[in-house]
Amino acid sequence: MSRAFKELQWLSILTKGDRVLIAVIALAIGGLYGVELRKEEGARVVIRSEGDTQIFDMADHAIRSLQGPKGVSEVEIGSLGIRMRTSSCRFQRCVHRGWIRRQGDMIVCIPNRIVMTIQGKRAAVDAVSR
Amino acid sequence: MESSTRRLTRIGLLAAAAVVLFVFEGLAPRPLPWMKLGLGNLPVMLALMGYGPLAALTVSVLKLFIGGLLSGSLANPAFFIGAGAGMFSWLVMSAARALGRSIFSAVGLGIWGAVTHQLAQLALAYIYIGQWGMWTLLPVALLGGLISGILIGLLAHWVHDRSVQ
Repeated sequence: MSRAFKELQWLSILTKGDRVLIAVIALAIGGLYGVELRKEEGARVVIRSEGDTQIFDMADHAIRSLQGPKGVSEVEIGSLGIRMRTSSCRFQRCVHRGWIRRQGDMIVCIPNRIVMTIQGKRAAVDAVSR
Repeated sequence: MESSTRRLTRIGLLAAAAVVLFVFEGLAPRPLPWMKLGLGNLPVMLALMGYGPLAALTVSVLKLFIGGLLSGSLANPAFFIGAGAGMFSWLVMSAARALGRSIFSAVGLGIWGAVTHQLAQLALAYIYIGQWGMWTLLPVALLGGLISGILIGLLAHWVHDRSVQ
């Protein structure tokens, strides 16, 4: 057996604690994704920026400009949901987040102080048990 | 037992390596914005494994301040969120190490470090922006932390095996 191959046998260095830790985190991830997929699609989007709150219907496709401390950010409401189209912030995390469309989904731009949240038709309820 | 000069030199070298990795990682393109490997944590882990929690703290603080100065992010909100997360991650890794190496290997330490870094980052961002729903990022953060923790942990195990003693 070559030495390089032996070094690939990394499973042998895992202790019992490591394995339990990995299992617990993997289960938590699975559970969270399970909850995520069961959420319904949203109907409205609430956009908060600089103390200003606006609510838009997700069926009204449009591009809107918002002024933040770092400059202008463009929000697009389209058939795929809502996204930050462009933003004048440094790391562009809000733009990279892509499209969101499920209830409770959120895009946050910390530098430009914008928070977009998706809500359902009625009040923002995560789930109803029957 | 190593001499104190040798110890000081080693910790200094680890801090220098941490700064370089931290800055380099900030420049490298990322396939996904949330997927940061956390290479800067590698020297912190090596300091923890070779020289204990205080050495790791030294490396971590030097990395944050010098790295922050070099990348121009010192004193902006992202810096404070990152620095807070770094301190929290150091605390948890030190505690995990103190339990003994038969409980958690380098891989376990790496996972603890990366996952707590991600969680603390979300929590601090939540405090800063004050909005629930940041938590929709939780599964992605955990997954990223798990994967990068395992990778960095393996690297730390491999380097530690060959450098110390």
